[in-house]
Amino acid sequence: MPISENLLKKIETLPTLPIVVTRIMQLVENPKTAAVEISKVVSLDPALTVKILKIVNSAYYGFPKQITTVTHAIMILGFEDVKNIAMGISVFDIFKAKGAASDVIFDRVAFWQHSIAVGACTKLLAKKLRYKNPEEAFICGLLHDIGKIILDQYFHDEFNKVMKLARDENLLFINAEKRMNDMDHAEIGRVVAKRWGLPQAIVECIANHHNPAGSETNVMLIALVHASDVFCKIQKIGNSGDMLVPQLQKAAWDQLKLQPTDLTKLYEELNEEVKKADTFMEFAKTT
Amino acid sequence: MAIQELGELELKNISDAQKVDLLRKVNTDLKSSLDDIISILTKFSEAISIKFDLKTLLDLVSDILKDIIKYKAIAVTIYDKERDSFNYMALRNVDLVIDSKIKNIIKDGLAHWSISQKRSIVLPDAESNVEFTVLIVPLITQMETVGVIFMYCNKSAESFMQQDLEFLNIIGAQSAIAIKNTFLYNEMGQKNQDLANLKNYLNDVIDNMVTGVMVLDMEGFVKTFNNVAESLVCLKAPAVLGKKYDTILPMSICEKITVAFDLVKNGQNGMAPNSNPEIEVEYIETGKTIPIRISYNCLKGNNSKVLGIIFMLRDMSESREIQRLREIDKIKSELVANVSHELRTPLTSIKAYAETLLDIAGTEDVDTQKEFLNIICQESERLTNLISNLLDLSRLESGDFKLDISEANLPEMLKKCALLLKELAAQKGVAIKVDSPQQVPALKCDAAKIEQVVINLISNAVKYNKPEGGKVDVSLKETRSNFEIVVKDTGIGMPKEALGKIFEKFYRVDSSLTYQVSGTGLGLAIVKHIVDRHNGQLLVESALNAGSTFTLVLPKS
Repeated sequence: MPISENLLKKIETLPTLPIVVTRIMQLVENPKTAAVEISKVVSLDPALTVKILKIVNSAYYGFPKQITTVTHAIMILGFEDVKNIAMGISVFDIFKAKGAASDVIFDRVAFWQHSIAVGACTKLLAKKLRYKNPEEAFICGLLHDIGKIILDQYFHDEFNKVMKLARDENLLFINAEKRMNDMDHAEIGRVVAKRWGLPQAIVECIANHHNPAGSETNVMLIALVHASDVFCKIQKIGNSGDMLVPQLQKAAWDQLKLQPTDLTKLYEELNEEVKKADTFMEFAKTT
Repeated sequence: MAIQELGELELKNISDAQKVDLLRKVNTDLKSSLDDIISILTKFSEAISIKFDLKTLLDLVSDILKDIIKYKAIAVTIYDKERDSFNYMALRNVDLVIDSKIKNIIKDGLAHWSISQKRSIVLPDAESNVEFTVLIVPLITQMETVGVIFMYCNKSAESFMQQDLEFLNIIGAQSAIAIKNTFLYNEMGQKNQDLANLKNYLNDVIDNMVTGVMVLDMEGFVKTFNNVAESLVCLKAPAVLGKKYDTILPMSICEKITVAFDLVKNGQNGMAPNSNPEIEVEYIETGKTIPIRISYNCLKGNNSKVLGIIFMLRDMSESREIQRLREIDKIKSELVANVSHELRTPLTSIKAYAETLLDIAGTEDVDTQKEFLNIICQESERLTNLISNLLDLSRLESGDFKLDISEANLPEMLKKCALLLKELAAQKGVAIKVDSPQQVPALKCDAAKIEQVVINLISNAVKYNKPEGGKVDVSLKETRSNFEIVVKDTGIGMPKEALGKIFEKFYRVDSSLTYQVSGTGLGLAIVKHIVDRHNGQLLVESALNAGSTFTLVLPKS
């Protein structure tokens, strides 16, 4: 759905990702980048440094020894992962839970709970299906609904109307959006993610997480995110605006080739994995 | 410098020209990085296609890593799942210090972590003041952990580039597959060896069975043919294996096998699933008749599909021999019974008459006494005959008997025999007629024995002739190499089934007449032996109530 001029104009005024993160993303694009170059950039932002070290030392990675420097973290987790962590942390920073307006309908803590669970679930599925980069899958899952939080923060009144409509008529959030005509969290998310220069894979996952058949590239990754979103709603982990379970699209199901027995096992492991990602939740609550 | 300021500096203060330069640099780096990856992969694929030998392979991996990482020391370890330990397989410059560093890394769980995360990691060497690092490269295939490569480098962690880690991951994955292939290759070699051993073992078992084994597939090709089968069928396995059974086996066996084969082929209709049907066949090989019992069963595959037929061939010669011995034993027992009976009959009458004689001894009834003594005399004679017959036969059978060769005048002999039996013939009302040329060459033989034969034949002809007006024709013929003595009677004859048995001891044709005629049942058995010893033949033609003709053929030499 095309978004209105009004929305586009407002998006222009949205904050960008911190320059440090943008720079890291640029550096990681070059295979000849040395660890020292990244750690130098990160060290410019002590808060980010602390958060990165917190994450890499968390149960999420379960590294058996203390990691004390960013260089160390890069050499252990790899350049890509450190970049993804930095991106995730920055997005959390932008949309702090406590930054919400007073007439809050949208529960940001519950939202991040859902987002982290989808990230964890996407990573689990990615591992299970031998997708090449499970950490990329995590960040895609984590950010899939970023459009909603943008709407809540910067288009608060319109967003609240959609929320009320969804709640009063017991609609899926996306169906309530369609009624309102000029709202589309997936599209807003896509535009913002692109503006921030997030990797194409993430942009496509955000844009198509309700419509896995809508993209010709990153098909697997989108299917993973879409399915994880549905699975986490079935498991009722967190809340992203409605408590209804959307239908799992056939395109995704065909892509993943999962068996019902796989799901039982997945749900068991999901709780474990969500616990491991607890550090992210801390950031969502306190930053 | 504040963060925001840095951003301003980095992004805003860069001119367009500088931005283009920056992009160009990334582009060049990407390209050269791609070249590096291709060159590593090329080297690798060339290396691992050389040989499935673990030592050579690990040497090559170490060489390639040396080019890229310039390590000081390297240890390639293979993971032992059962003991959860890493065993050194290829080492370069691993001294005690480095060895203990590696052991600590493993102890701290870093090797396991690297495996679980499927990524290579670079650790700063905590104990060294200089900038040293330890590299851990997991060797994992999709399915399992193969091992871990540890490298000790004189290089700070900071200077590692993103592509270095990528290279390590690529080399780790490729090495793992190559090592795994080496294992599989060796395992396959071992399995093949095991299979070959098992095959030899089974072949040994099959070859050392006392039963002949032949397996046919459903097309009738011979798949297995063991030693015993070889010697039973007198064909060597190489000549039979892989051939169609009906092109190579003896006809008589083929016929039987075809019957079995058709039964199995036609959906086992004639065969209950676990039945063990048997067929018997006799065939002649190099002049020897070999009786074989063939049993067969379906050879079934995993899904009960019939793959072929197993034939078990057993040489029945031995068990037939046993059966024959059993029969002989039975004959011996019968002989004892018969002899006892035959001996008792005359003895009983001798005893009875002798007792009566004792009672009437001293009386004037001389005639009765004479008559009784005559009977005693006759019965004694019969006993003597019987015993001497038995002795003759026993000697003949034991082989403890020598022919007393002299020249015999056969026409004379025939006349003499006829004369000797004249009285008996007269009693029976039978006429004996001898038809013989006057002059024939003398025959070298045991004259007394041949005479015994002739007497026996003529006396039989007389005894078993018809009650009155019977005739016995005795004739002598000379052929080029033989003399033929023919004794023909007009008697009761014999049924066909009896002909084969008349030369057996104590065999007497079962008829009412035989019970009236006294005989030991040994005569023809003795006759047969004597004739055999002279290399002669005794032919008999007879039919019930149509008389009998015995032809004695004696070779001149």
